[in-house]
Amino acid sequence: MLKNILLIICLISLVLSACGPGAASTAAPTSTVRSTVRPAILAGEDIPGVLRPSACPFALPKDLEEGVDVECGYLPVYENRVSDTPEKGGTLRLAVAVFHPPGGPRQPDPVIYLSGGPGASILKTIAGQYEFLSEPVFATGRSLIVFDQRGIGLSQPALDCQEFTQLSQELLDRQLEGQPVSEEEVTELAFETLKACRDRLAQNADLSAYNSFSSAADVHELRLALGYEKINLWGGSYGTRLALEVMRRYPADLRSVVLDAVYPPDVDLYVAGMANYNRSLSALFESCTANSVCAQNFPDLEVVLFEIVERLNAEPVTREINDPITWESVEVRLSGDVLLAIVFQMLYDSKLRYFIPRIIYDVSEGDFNYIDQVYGAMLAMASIASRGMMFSVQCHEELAFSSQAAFEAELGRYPELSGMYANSILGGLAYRLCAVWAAGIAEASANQPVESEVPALILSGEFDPITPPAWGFQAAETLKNAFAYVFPGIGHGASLADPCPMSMMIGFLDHPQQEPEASCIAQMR
Amino acid sequence: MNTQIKPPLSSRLRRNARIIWAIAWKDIVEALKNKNTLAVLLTALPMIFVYYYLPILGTRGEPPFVRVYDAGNSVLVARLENSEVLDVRTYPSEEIMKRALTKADIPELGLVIPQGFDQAVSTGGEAQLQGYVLNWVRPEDAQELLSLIEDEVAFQLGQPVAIVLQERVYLAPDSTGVSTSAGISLVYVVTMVGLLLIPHLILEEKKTRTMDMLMVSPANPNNLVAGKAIAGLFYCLLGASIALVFYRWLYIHWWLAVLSTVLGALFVISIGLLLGSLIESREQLTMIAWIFILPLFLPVFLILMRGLIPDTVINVLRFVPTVVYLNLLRASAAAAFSASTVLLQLAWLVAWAVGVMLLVGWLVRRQDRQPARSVPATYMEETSSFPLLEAATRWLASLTKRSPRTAMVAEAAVVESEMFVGGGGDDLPAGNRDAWRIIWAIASKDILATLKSKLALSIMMGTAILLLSNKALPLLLRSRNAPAAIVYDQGRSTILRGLAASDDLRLGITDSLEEMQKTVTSSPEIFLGLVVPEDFDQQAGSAQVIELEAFVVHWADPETVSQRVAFFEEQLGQSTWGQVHIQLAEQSLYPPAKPEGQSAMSMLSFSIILFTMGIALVPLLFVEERQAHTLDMLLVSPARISEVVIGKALAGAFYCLLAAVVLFLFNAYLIVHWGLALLTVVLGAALAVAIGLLVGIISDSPTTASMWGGLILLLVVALTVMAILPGINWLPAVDNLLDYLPTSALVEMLGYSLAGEIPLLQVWTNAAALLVGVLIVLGLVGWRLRLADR
Repeated sequence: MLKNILLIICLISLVLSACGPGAASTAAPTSTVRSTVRPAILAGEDIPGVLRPSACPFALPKDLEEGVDVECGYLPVYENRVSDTPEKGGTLRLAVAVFHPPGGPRQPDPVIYLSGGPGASILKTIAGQYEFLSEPVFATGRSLIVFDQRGIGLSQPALDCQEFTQLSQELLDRQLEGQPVSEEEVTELAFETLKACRDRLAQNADLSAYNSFSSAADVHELRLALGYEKINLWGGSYGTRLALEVMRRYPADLRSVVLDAVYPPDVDLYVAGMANYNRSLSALFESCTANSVCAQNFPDLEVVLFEIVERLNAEPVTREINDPITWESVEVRLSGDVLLAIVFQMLYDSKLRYFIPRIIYDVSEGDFNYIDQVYGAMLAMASIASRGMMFSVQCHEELAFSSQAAFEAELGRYPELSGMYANSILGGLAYRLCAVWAAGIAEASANQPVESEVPALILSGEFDPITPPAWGFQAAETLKNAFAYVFPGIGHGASLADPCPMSMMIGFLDHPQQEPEASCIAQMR
Repeated sequence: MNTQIKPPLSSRLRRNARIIWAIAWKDIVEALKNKNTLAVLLTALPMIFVYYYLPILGTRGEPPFVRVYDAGNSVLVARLENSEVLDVRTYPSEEIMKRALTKADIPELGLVIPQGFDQAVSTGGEAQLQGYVLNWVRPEDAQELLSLIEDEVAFQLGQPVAIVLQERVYLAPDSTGVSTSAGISLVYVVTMVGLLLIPHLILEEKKTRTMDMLMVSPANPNNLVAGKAIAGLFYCLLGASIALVFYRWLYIHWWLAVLSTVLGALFVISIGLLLGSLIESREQLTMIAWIFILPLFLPVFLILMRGLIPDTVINVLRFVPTVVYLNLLRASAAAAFSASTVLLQLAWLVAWAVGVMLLVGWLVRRQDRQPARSVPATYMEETSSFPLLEAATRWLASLTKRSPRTAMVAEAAVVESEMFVGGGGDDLPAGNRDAWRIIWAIASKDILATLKSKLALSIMMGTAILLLSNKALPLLLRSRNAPAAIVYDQGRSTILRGLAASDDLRLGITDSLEEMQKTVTSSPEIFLGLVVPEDFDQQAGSAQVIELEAFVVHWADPETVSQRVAFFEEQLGQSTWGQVHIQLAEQSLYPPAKPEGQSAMSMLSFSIILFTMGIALVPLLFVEERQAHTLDMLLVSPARISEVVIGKALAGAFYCLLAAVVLFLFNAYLIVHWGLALLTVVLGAALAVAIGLLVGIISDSPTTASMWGGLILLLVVALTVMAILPGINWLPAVDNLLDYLPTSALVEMLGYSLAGEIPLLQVWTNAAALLVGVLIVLGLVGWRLRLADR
């Protein structure tokens, strides 16, 4: 009962992280000194805008040599970029890594990767993602720059809410001790915990300074600090919104931009959430019906799903899974809303969607073995985000322009999905939290479409349950040199999910003014 | 009226105590002179060394473990993960880290990076970390570990760091680290000594007829049982104290360790006494002891296999007294334990010991009431308390209608008569034909006599059990597991990883074709080796059929393979919403020449069985004959001593080869090069028999033969295991030495006979090494015979 709600909360805290493999490789500029002689933790005074080389503060991807293939450092920047007196807010440090292709870069303009979330650390997980992230970038002979945005991961400070993890443990302990906790209580506890996190973070950070506006300025400053004349941006999910903000404010910095799973500024993520998920589910049901193997093995998928959701909501089942936080076997309760949250997360991945019908049928037949595995993996994913950063960004520039009344009207339109959204961070809880977060309110322009002439490649996935293809086309309307595509069979994040979008991205990075060769899309399923 | 004046209680107690002590003291002293006792002790104690040194050898040369809890997202964690001189594991809480630390069986460091560490360092504050080691780690070891890790942390951070050792971490009663391995070695020593030595003490009495004297002495049956128990306790505690001295740094609650050892020993002794009271000969003991040893010792390992064995079974096994003893020992090494649990466990052990003791007392009293029997003159005439055993023995005896010993005497007479009469007096100078006739007569007699020897049969039964267990375990695993495939995934398929989460099948994913093929060939079960193309995921959902190539090991039966292929085609088809076709490669896979997995295990059992037959069986052909005085008859017959020896060698070789034939029958499907396999078996059998001959010649009784045979067998098996076992880093000198040993040559040659390709040069080198080994041992045999001749 406790964990199922927490799972929903956790899941939605990551909804904007780009799915699929990720991250970077070899690195860059000046120094050839090996990292081992550099301190990993920097002492002394920071000078804003001046990169401070350091040992790489993350687990290195396999076979990379520090100082040769990758160089790391921290970029000190002013915390408060809005205030008239920026010094007032002090400085913060952005953790940066520059990966070079084997033999060094052949092109002068690197690609900077902007991760999603907001709040997902790319550097903490770079060892597992490097191989994938570096492939299209190195194919163009460019260096790949990866950094944790302000408030995230290895950047200092990171707006993490460990309290939330502790709450998970405390609730589990109470559950094990036989103390019943109602769903309402859990929601309330989650709210109080996040509020307490906010109070703690606010003691050392100006939470109104952690948003896309400031991060866009950080990207600009990073370019300057590394000495590049032009850069290419590659944003995924929330990273596309940040990229669009850079396009709006620093167009001169940019040679090209790749926007993958676009989250434009002029949409309402919260109000549109249920419609987006519903659209994705419908696409899944249709594709299953159209496929002879799926249709034969898993007929009437939609009916079976919502029947089992209803049944599980009425009578949740208790399952034993491996808790990724404690690494111990724990009991969790699987309700219909949790099942929907798991399906939602699986739709992010273009290949995992093939397993969704099977899971639905397994659960409907009382076989929970497979979903237990997925459940455990989802909990693990949910524990690696800087949630404080997410609220600062979303409260500042998304929920500030969102209507709670419209959201509640949507709950009525999608009653079968309402349980998953009503008290989640993508719904009611987010509105409540923003009322106390004190993230400030972005300028009205932050909610307006971005107009730009910078060449842009816009990629969308057919099954994307959170940033639908329509948002890609919506963004493209005001981008004069944009090429927008929808990729069949793809979920949230196309560039690394299939060779076709990847090849188009490589072609685009080589010749951003030209429309990329897109004939491969017809071959995709 | 017949009235008896009973002495006062205190006087009776004193008298009984004196009697008990007299019996106990006699046994203690006698046992010290007894080769059986020494043999039992000598074969039990090495296990302490094995358990003590194996973890150390297993981690030699490996980077030390550091278990880290990072309270504040420090960059140090990532830096340490990049380190090549440390093996770092991170944990989500300090408590879990400490719990993981308690699983260590060598010194390890637990490290806590406090919250705000990075900030403190960056602001010029003191860089200080908290270190934890287990309570049993010696201060100098802890300091050495600390210095090494401090240096590496400083290197990674780029500035000096101090690790401050905190209070020691104590083990929990259920810790699976060193307290468990120490406990197992103690349980092993106590069990083996108690179960084998005590019956020997009783048997000695029966053999020397002193048992009858004791029965008619003032000692009552209870005195007898108590006396034997005290003597047994002495030896059990002697063995246990050696183990306790080894692990002296481990135990916190010494009183509990000693008390549980005393009670554990008393329980085992009670079983030993029971065994001793039931059996009548050493041969029976050899056959029956394992029936007690297995159920007492096996649960000790089984309870550690949580996850593999159902919880219900584990919960039941917890009541086995040896498991209770183990758990008490583990509690002795823990900082705290549940007093009620420990008391219950102690009471349970006491109850078992007392219960079995009472049973023994009753049995002895019952014997006391029966007329004193004479100790049988020959073991075939002995009566047994086990009807089945007795029946089996009688049946075997009925094969010749004579007892083995009388049969041996008769056979010797046959040999003699053949020499003098049947062979023809003209050939008395014994030409080659006669020599072979003599040899054949001796060999055939021994082959037949062996079949009638309980000891020989028990050895064969033991090897058969070994063989069956080696074959049964994989079968058991096979029956429980879902179909498995090993996939060489060329395109990092997400679909395959998704499918791997299913419980309906087992999917291992490898990054190279070689790794996949190696796994397929070294598994005891049939794995399907699949090659999944780079664009597998991209082909999903299409109307076209996805083609996969598959490999299977050469011995896989076609029916199972086709079932597996169909199963995976269906599973993969469902997972891709399409059709998958698996095409079997034309060429089957063969294991590499260097044995691993199933091949290695087969070779290990092969070598052990071959050596057991040779080293344990052949000496019996000498010593039993020596005991029956038929050897003297043979030696004064026209048969030359070398012919006698060759005859016995042939008899031994017969059984070695018989064992090999059985092994081949079981493992025929694994063998690729039969010629090489046969050559290996002949050479291996020759070596085993040669060693057996040597043991037989230098032994003057079954006891000494068992002792020497046991020790040499232990050594040879250990060497074979050392040659096979991966993951143990021996000293380079040991590695080099192992390469030149005949046992290594045997293992390598067996490996080649299972492999696809044979490196001819190595085959001949190894064959030569084996031959040299055989010749050296035979040379020793000849030298010893010449000495004896003089």
